[in-house]
Amino acid sequence: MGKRIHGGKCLIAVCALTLLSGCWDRVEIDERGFVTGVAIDLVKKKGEEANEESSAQQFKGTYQIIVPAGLRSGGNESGGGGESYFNISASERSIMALTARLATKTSRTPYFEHLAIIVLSKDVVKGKSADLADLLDFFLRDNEMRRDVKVLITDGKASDIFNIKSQNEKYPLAYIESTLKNNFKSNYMLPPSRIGDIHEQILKDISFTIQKISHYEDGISLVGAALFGGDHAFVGFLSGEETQGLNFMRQQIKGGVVETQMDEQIVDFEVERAKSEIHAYPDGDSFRFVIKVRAEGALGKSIRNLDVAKLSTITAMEEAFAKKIEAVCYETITALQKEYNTDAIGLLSYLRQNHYRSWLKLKDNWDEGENLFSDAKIEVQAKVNIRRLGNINQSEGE
Amino acid sequence: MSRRQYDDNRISAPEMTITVTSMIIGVGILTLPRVLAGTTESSDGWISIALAGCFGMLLAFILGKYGVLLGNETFYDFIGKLITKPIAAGLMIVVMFYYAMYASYEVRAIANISKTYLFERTPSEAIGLTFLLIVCYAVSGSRIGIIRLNTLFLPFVVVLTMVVLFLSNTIIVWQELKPVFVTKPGPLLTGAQESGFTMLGFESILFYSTMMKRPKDAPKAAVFGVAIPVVLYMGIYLACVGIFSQAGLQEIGYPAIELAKEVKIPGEFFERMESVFFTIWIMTIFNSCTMAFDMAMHAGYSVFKKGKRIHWVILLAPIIYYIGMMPKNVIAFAKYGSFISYIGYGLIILLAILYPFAKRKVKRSWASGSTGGNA
Repeated sequence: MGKRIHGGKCLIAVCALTLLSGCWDRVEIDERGFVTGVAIDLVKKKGEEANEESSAQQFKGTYQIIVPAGLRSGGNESGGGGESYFNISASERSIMALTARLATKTSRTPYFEHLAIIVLSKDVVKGKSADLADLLDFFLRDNEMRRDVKVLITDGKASDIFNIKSQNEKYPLAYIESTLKNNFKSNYMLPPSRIGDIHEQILKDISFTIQKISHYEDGISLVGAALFGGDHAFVGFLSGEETQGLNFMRQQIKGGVVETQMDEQIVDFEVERAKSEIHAYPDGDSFRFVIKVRAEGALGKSIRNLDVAKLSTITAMEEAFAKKIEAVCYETITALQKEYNTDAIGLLSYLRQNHYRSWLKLKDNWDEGENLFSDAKIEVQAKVNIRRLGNINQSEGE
Repeated sequence: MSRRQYDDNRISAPEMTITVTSMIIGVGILTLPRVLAGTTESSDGWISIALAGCFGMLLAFILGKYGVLLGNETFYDFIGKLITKPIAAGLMIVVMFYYAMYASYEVRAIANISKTYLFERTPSEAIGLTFLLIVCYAVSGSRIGIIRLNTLFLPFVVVLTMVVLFLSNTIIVWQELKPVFVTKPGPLLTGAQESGFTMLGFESILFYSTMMKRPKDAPKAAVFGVAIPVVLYMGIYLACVGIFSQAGLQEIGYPAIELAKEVKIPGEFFERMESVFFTIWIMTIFNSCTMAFDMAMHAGYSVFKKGKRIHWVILLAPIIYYIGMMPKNVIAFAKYGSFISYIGYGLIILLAILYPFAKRKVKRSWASGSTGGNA
């Protein structure tokens, strides 16, 4: 072929270039509002209360939006334009409308790809008006969101959580987000509740728990758990200790401390690993359960006049800790069976996986209907293994 | 034969296997885990995939045998001798439309999925058109070029799937796979039927076996070509059940992409795995679509014996685009997909039944020596 470039071909190429370089979805990064957290409260509209319709109830959504310029490290605060985030709220009857309303109030297009946390207030999930599934639908359906957005329930106002002072972090949500993952240090809190997992549990119609967040002095506290029944309705909050028991039984322990008394003094055990095994034995129409908990770890704090180098001391301590774990678990079981009547331990799932035929028969009467769960006999057997004693034998001579 | 030649327009058995695999892997698997979770209990869907896979391999084997009989004849000439020319011509036109619809299905699917995951505000018509234009470019060239493209792209797809499965290992909840073997035979068969739909494409062996160096290898190549996707599909399905649980899986639109979304690379230095996954998956969908287009052209050309390749491209592309954009919503689109699959299986099973007769006829003609059936 000749080497001469044809004028016609050139023209076509130039035309193609202008046509091909367009992009429908272009949004410049400095025009985007990176939503990192959403807090949802319930507000009653005043003045319209005469309307008997439920329209009086509206959701108030508070969105925390990040300003990337404010995140720049090293820039001095007075000149840099200040805050790295701002909160913005709006009230609407549905979450989708809320987002649309929000877009009218900010210059930055809300962008949810980096959404990390959803905080729901207790009131939002309590009433029948707002099913949890309904609330989360938007966050699950929209493809900007990911299935590992974390969900939290608070006993106070959700929007307050976003106004806390961020300790060590650039903005409040970064602080909350890194606190969420601290369950390897404390077993009074649950592992983070991913929205994807909650979706599955709602679909399975089983009871489940969601991390609880509460305003505590200047910061936040994640101790405890919010309990949801098989009909996805909020049932109540579990205390820190009950959460600990639940963690042990569900094998969710990643670390933390177990505290007990020996000779009227406090001893601590640092859990490094814990396993739990559920065994079910047919018992009439229902089942009898044995939950075996095995914990391993190190001695966290010893007491005076106790020679931890002796094997007998260790064994006695191990027994004391095991008793404590059992007691905590029984406390949780009693609360779940008698007070809340909600199987958050996951016994029903266990039956589905291992006793499928029996599960088919009793799944509708487990923690609803005939409430077989609240009468089921559950036995906990704990075993503790102290592997390490720490760096010293005694901190005080005799 | 001692020297490896790339310009002889002939393909080897492994290349044929890759071609069949590329043709099979397409959009089907992106939704298959959801469909299986809806029909079968717990993690039993793998049985359905295995059943469909065995059935597919059997059919692929029989169709591969045709390749042995064909030799260098085109499929139309061969079948014309068997069932008279007019009927064969009718059959080939059905085949042409089948492949045109197949290609249109892929175009629409890619438009739908890209719109969902990549370009939220770009109209799907525009995405589909862009994709189809690239496909047109590919089919305008030589057929051997398409095969080479398959060989180039497939390793990426297989390796990427392996990587995703390997990384998902940490987030799979193995308990979710229990209980096993609890689904009744009825739902299992329904699941097998659905899985079978995603394995369509192995019939491409009929159109490409004539290009093989040794057509005798065609049955083996076809069977392996089906086996690779079966294994990949099972892996993807089981990973999906383990991660989303059966209950959750039923409600997720494109579980395979969502799987890539869940996967996290340790160290968090790379996020949004699904963008890579989806981009590479487009490559294999592109291959399926290109081959379907090519076979539609081939089927049409073998009957009419008129026109250049480019003429056929210009004739078929608007038809493909138009019928692809017809289904109004995702539900109509899913129905359209099943409709194509029924035609596909109808054709394949018809040909499989015809095989014994074809074989007898060829043997007779060999014995009399009237036609040189095989060189």
